Amino acid sequence: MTEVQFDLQGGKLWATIVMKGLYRIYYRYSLWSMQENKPVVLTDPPFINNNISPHDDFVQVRNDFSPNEGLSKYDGREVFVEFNIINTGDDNGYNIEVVISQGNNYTTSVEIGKDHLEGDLGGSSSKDEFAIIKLKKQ
Amino acid sequence: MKRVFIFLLLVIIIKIEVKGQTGNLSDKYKLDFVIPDIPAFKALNIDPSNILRPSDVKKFAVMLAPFYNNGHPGIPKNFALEFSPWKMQSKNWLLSDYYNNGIKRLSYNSSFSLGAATDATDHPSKVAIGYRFSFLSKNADPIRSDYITQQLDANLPGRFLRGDLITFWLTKIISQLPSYYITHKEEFKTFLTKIGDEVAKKGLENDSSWFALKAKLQNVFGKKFRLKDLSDTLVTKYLDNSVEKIMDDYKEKFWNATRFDGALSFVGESRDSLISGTRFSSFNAWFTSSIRMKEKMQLLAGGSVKMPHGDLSENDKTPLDFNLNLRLLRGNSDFRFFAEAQVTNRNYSEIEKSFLLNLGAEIRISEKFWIMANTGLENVKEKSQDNWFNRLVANLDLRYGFN
Repeated sequence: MTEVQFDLQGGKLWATIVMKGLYRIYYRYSLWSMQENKPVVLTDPPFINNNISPHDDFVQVRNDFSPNEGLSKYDGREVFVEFNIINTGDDNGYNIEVVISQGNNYTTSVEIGKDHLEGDLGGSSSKDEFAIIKLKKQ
Repeated sequence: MKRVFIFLLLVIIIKIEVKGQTGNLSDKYKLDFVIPDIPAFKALNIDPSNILRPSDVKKFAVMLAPFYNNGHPGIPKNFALEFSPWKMQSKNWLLSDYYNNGIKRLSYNSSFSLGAATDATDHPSKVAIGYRFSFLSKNADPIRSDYITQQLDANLPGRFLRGDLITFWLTKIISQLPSYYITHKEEFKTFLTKIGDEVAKKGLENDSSWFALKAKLQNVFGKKFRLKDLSDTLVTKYLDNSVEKIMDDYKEKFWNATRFDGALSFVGESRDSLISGTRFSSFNAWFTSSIRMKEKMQLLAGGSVKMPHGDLSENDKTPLDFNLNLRLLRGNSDFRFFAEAQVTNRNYSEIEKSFLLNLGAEIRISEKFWIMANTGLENVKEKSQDNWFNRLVANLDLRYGFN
């Protein structure tokens, strides 16, 4: 698990999924609240996508049940991205990053931290990987 | 039974030759559409079992060490290296780059080979460099195949089983069954779970998310599935099997997908082992174009060219060996009939020219091995004779890795 510090005045939080390597990769993003020992999934529905079809691989990190709540509430929450990596060619290795950035617009947001997954499938045809990023206020 | 019968039939076919037996029949009369994986070694007629295969650029640089002797470039006595620089780099490519950029696709499907050997000729030190490449249609490329994408998408409900279990643990078990969570933390960490009984005890079995998860798991693993049966191994096995099934179906459906394969090699030779004294020895090229004709047919057009060094030529004709092949196949991924034609021109063998018409069959006997049998009529001109003559040819062959 990686810890990323955000600025309470820095604007919205964004998660970008960068998948390198010639594999078919499916992923599911969700935001968790781990506060008060009562974990809750705050993404509804979970954001499921892949690296095959053309689309944007970024999402705003937000509580879908209360989109306008203050950033202070995000302290201790966790960005959880699960990957299913499928090998249909050669097993030459993958390089996956989940990048957290902050800013009112995605295009102008600034990277504040990331989790990095690297490896290969060791001859298997598929593999699961998990990226977990804990958000902490500065 | 049918396969056994055909196999036995093929085994009893004997090699027959009506006239002009010269050398190894199978070397001269089979149509060879197989592009050598490692053209440098093919050109040197070496088949090293200890091929060096670097996985990154640094290893590649280290492996070139035998080409230096006391700081001077030289030809090692025996050396075999195969490398694919773009495959090494592909770890840092986006899949979309590969999809959208033809140059990247070509470079990914290319490899170089480097070989060195010694023989008993006037120029005993030989060094060869080879290049192999493939142009793949979408159906021939498992990385881009729409069929595989569609099948994987259809299989999506099973892709996040472990994530579903984590979700359930976090949303239900930790908050509603804290005592169970405390005693099963380790299981949770490794995504092993035996919570079925606990769920029933605590009255969670009618919970909508539990019901949905259970239904999904039973949909994937069958109606008899119980949560206590679930293990990390089972999930991994399920995911692997589902991908392997998709790949098997893909190979079955697109065995004849359209593609073009080619390979080139240059051979240099030297009286001593110095690179500076190296001269051109031969150039070799192989190519095969495979064209899909509906689901059951495939047309193969291929050929090879060899251009040896001028000093080695025995006459004033163009120092060129070549053959052109055409084959039409009908069948499936395991069994095919074929009709074929071949034109051959050789300057350096007893048979100078030949034209062959053939009928035959290929049978897969394992993942990589094929038995190929063919018989036909060949029109031949030998170097020592002026006239052309006909002869009956037949061949039974075991092949490895035929596409």
